Amino acid sequence: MILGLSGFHWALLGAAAAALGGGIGSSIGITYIANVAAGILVEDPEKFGGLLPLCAIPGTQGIYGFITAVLVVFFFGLIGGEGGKLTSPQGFQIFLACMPVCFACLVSAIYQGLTAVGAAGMVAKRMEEAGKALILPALVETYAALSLIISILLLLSIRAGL
Amino acid sequence: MVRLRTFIDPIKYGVATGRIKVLENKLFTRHRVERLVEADDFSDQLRILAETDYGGFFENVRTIDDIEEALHKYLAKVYDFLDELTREREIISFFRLRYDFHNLKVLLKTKYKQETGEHIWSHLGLLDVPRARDLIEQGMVDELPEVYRQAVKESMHRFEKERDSQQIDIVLDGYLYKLLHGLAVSQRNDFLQDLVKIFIDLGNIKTFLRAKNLRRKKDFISQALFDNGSIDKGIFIAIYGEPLDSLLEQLKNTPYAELLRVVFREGKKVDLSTFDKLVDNFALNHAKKARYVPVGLEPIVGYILAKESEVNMVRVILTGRLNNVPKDKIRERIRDLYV
Amino acid sequence: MAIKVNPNRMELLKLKKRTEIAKRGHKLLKDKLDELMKQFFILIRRNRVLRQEVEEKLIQAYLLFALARSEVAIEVIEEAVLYPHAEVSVDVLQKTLMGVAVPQIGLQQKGTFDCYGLSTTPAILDDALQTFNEALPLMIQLAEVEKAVELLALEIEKTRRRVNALEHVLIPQLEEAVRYVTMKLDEMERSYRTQLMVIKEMVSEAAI
Repeated sequence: MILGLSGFHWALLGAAAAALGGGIGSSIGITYIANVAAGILVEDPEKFGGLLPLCAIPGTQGIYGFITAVLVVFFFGLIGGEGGKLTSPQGFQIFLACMPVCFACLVSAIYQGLTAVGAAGMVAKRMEEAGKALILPALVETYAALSLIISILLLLSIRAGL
Repeated sequence: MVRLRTFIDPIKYGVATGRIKVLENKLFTRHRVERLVEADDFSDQLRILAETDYGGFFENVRTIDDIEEALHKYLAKVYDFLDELTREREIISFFRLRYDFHNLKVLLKTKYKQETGEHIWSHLGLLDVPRARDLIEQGMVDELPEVYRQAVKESMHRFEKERDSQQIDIVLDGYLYKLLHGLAVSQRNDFLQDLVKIFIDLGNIKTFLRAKNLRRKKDFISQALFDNGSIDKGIFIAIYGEPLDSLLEQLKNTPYAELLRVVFREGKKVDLSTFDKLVDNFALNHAKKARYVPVGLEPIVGYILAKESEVNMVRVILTGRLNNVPKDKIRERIRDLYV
Repeated sequence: MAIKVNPNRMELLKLKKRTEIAKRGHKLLKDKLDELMKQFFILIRRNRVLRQEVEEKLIQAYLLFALARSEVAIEVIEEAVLYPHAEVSVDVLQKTLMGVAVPQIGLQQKGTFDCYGLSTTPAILDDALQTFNEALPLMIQLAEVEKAVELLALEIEKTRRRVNALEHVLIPQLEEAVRYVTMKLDEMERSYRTQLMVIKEMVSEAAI
């Protein structure tokens, strides 16, 4: 037993942490950009089309967290009851595998929100810049996506070792 | 260093910043200013203004007094917009205190001169002017809101001692800048603090040069200079008796050196005819940094400053035209633009 | 004939004396008139220069003031000059120029004109008020000269009227009177002589 938690508990904790990190990050990030977007729309409702992708983009981290959590649940049968057979070290491995998504998504979503705010300023100035403006916060997305890939790879390798 | 403000500002000022980013586009462009200056006559200028949000205020403008009234109303709208953007009293005060202190000056001077000055009250401040007048007339200064109390008391005291109306201005200006400095410090915002420091420094440089031109005595300037500047007022006092070049020498490593070099360019007598413009440009160029802040207090403050500068520019161009000021004289006095 | 006189020798002497005085007075007045005209032209020239100077100063001052007032809201400018601490007083003395009493205006100024905060008002306001300040003594001088010109013009008119009266009325009349008296006296003498001759003839006839 590691820290007195069973493998099942560790796996649950990992899934929850992934969903939590991504979710918190995304909600904060979206709040930032949505706030600014709302302000822009008050003065110029026609910018909606340009701003919507910017508002949506910090939301992806939440989805990554969600995917990771779902993968943990299905790979290790946390619903079917199979999860009970996980040993404590196995469960801890699963927990660690969830960490990249948890932290990278938490932090990147918040900063992506901040970057999107800057990009929204560009859109407010010139609607034609909407495409370019989207690229900048999208760069932040890379690292959230990489963390998702790593988490999935790690989960796959743990599953293969069962 | 990660600052907490980075994560709070987007929530606190997000909507306001968003609105400002759009409105920045509607500030006057160089092109529009040029058209206003080059317009054939006053009615042409009004036609150009009608394309902007000034239009509604300038519908029945004929005389210079009408222009003043229209611009006063327009500024009132700008400050109402600021109230809408932020509920923070400090920020609102930061812009409106100036008008309160103007009103206090008027009230004190009219009290001592036994005149009425209602026509030169400003309605852009926070102070309830008629009530303040009654309190000041009846000598019940202690009933005034706390912010102004000490300032009014001291200026009354100073006037009664020296019987010199200029002392009222000097004391109240000093208190105004002290309050502005306090507000900026309480906001813990570098941009705002730097801005106030720049206001104070520029005010001190202006006082120094003008006093020198007017051949005032040294004790005059030691009273009139402000505290809290980035350049200590002691420096100004120490070199007041020396030739003007020593000011440039003292300030050569500060951002103000360039400004002074322009003023000192010709001969010994300092030419202050375009000094007002240089000073405003200097402050506005600092404010311009706010445009690169994606979200926060800075864009709001920057925008309001830009708006104030724009209103001044419209005044320069329109009243200049009605007063038959030559075009090149008007152009000489047009400030830089925020965008 | 305007002057009625008794044609006798006494009157003739008196009349001749008066003519003499009138002619001398006429010459004196004429000299005075010339001198007055000379002074008048000097003053006029000075007046023109001063007026031009004052006008230029005022145009400059108003331009500067127009610029200063456009820099800030008008309330700020009005507040700045609401309670001036400079005091200006004017006292009017008299001096005589060619026997004409003309005013001499003295200007006393106390304190400086800057009665406002230097940091919150536009710097160009100083220039505007400085120019007005320089214009004031010039305007006073102009007023002085202009009044002197006016008074001198009156004096010139009066003197010219006198000269004309002497030249065209009094002197001709006096000369006329002298001529009349002389004529009358001559006539009287002739008739006296004729009488004498007649008497002499009668006497000599009686003697024969």
